[in-house]
Amino acid sequence: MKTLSRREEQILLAVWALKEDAYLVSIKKYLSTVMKQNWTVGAIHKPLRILEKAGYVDASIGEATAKRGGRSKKIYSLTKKGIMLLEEYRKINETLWSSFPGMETR
Amino acid sequence: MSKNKKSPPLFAQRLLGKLLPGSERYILLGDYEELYREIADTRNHFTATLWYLLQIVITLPSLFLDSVLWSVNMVKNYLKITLRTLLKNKIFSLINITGLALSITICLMIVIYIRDWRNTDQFHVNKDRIYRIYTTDTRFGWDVHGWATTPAYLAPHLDRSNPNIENSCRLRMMFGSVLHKGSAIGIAGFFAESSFFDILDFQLFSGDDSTALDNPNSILISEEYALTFFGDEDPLNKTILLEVIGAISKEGVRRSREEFTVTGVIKDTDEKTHLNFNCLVSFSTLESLIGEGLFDNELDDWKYKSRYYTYVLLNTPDNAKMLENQLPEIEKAIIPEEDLDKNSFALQNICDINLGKNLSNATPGTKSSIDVFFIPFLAALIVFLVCFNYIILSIARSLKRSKEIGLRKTVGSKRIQIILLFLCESFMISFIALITACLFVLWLVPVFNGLDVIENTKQQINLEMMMDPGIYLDFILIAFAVSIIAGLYPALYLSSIRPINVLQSGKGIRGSSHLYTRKILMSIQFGISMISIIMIMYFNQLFDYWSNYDRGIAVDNIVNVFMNDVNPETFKNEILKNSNVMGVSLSSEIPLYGGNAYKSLKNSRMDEPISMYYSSVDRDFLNNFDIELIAGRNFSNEYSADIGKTVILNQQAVKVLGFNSPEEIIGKVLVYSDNTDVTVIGVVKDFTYRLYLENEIGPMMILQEPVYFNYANIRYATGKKEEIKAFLPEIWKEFDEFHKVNYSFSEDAQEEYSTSLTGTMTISAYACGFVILIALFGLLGMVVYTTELRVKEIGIRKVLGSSISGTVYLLSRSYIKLIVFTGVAALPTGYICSDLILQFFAIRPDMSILIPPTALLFILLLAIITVGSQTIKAAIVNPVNTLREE
Repeated sequence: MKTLSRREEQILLAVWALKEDAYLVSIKKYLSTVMKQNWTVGAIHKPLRILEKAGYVDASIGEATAKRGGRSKKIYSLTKKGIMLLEEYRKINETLWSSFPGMETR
Repeated sequence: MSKNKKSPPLFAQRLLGKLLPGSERYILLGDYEELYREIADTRNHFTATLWYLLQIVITLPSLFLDSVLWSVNMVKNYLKITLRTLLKNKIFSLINITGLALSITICLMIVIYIRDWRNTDQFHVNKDRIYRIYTTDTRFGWDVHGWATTPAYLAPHLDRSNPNIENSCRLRMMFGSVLHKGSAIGIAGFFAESSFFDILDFQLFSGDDSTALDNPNSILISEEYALTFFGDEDPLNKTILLEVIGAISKEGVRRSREEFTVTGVIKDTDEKTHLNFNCLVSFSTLESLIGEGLFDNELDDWKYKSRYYTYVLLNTPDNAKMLENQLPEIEKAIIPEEDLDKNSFALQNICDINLGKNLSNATPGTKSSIDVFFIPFLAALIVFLVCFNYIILSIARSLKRSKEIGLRKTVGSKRIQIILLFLCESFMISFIALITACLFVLWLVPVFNGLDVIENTKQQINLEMMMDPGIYLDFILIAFAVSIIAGLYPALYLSSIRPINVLQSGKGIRGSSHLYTRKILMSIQFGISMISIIMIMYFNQLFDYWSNYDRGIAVDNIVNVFMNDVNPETFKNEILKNSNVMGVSLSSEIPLYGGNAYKSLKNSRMDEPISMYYSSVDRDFLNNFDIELIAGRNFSNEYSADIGKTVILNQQAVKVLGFNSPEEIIGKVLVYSDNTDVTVIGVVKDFTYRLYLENEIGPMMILQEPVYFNYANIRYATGKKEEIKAFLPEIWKEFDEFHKVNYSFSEDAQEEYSTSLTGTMTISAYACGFVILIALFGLLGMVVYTTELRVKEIGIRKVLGSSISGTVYLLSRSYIKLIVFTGVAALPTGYICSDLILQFFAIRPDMSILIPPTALLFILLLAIITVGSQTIKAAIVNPVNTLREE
């Protein structure tokens, strides 16, 4: 199993959450709002390329809009392999987090 | 307008586009633009543009990293491919590597040689502040810039008036001999001021360098001389008897014999310097010797500007510029007004003296740049010829490699990548060649140093330079230059191949224009080979002519004895008693070795006197040397007035003095030197008074002035050389018990001359042979490749009934044609070049018209052997073997 970095994990989750609208700018916006911090283009693009190469995400060319200066989008979607990987990570995370009780029960 | 305003600036888009990875460039640009617009909408355009530009800056480092990673990978791949191609084409690799290695060897030897000479005088601590002042003189030709010296009074003037100068030192050459245990040992060095050791960092083995040169009659000697004179004893404060040779005057050479105190021993040094000396004598000695009249009063006289070397130590290295600016002022104070337009002073740093300006009267140990002027050109020529081979063979090979390139391009190779691939290949080959060349140097240099010519002229190459790491930078630069020269054209050509042309079946590569390039390069190689052979053969003819030239003077069976202080007349009379001696004459210079003394002679009608070669001889000279008198008479015993009052001229002198025939000038009174009247009594046929025949025989005057008689020329009976050798020291002892007899055989001089000519020929012949070898190498490679490509064609031809000779002819035809056509152009060129060069020599033979065709035949023969060896091999192969696979 590939070890995912925290960032890669977050990007994969963002791709899942955004469904058909998952392209670079939307991912960036989504993560920026959720995490309340600004992500740079490179910080998303680089991991995305690695994930794509590793076969966890798939890419297809989307429509072109005037807003983009007439250039098309690259729409990302999770592959089966990617979904399975996320599933596994959830299990790992839950196990790891289960011992941490949280603020109210301390 | 509004739409335009919403997108990022165009240049920034372009720039970012260049930086982004190719596959996703447009998508990413779109992403960036979208973000830009958003920022522009929420904030303003300016912020958005700033952000956009920031993105470019952010992209840079990762891009750089990427490219480094990729190029490492690519280079690894290139190296692998190169190695494979090298191993696959063994003949190609072998020819190229050998050729390049040989030419690089020559370059390396030259680099070592030049660096070795440039690397002198580095041991002086203050080397960047030590300058020598020299005197330029427009009276010299283009190749000599002036005197390495200045007048003696320049240094004191500078010390007095120039704040930029911390210290100065004057040197003057000193010649003499030390009288030691009954014999005189020659010694040469300098009179040096006591500041010598403050400026120059020569070390003393013993003695105190701050005081050693203070007192008159102090001498510092080298370790070698200390050992000779004192053996194991401590030489300090011991005395030696030194005879200093002074000025030559009417009374003869002046000499002084005085006791000198040894105040120090100069340490032997491995460091190279332009100052070679065996002894240093205190400058105050010189002053007292001038007082005694040994030397003329040189110290305040501009006339003696050719004697004194001036070294100055500046306050700071930067002061050199300031001093340079002050030179015109200094010149006005030092140089007499009438010479101001012809002479000036100039500075040279002590490290720039060797391989620097060509100056007259340079110190022993100096080599000027003019001596090595032609060497880099020779190296460049050889490198270019070898690189031509590489180009020729690479283009020939392109037939085979074009498919590979086509495929590479089809799968996405860029042109620049293919260029890099081929450059990488040529670099690797030249690098292997460089390593081979280093080994060659280690092996060849001792052989080269052993050659007679090299040993005699002290042109040895110093192998120790190979230890200096700095030199390898030069080596690598050379290898790099070679790989670019050799590899660039093939790389550009091969990378221009279009895949469609080579991959489509049935289509070969087009490129007849490149076939022409190949042919042109080959004809250049063979053209140069032929031209050099022709020139060498003409020079050989010239040297042959010189060796057998009728000099108009018979020098065989002559031995010349240096008279020193012995009375020449008594010596002559004594020696004539020996039965082996056929005749004796006296002269100021050894005929053939001389040619250095000039004096002026003036016709009463002329304003300017003519300077001509001068020789003082006695009445027996002309008979002794068999010199033909064509008018008038010889000096005679009966005319006592002959001494210094009469002159014999040669034909050239008659001509330059403006007389039409020798008879006309007899009895005329001319003005000689410093206003003495001399009468012309005879005219001799022109004879060569110099060993070297390069120059025309110039005007010459012969006087009878006994004070200048330095040599006794003894003609001995043929075959009695050994007897004379035994006899001379014996008889000499009766005259001079201190000095050893000093004699030289004239025929030895002539032989030496012949040897030096043969030596020059040998080296040129080696160079020429090398050029031809390179050309033949290239030819061999070409033939191997083209016959290989045509193996099947030959097979079919033979099956269809072609004869072996027919096949060989078919395969060889184009090469032979090429060489013959080259010959048509090269032969006249070679002839004309040789003619132009030979024009410079006054004494030369008629150029034989047979030489150019001989050169062509010679090259043609070699080429036929080279081509034939391959084509015959290809033609006799049984067609079954070549066609079986089909």
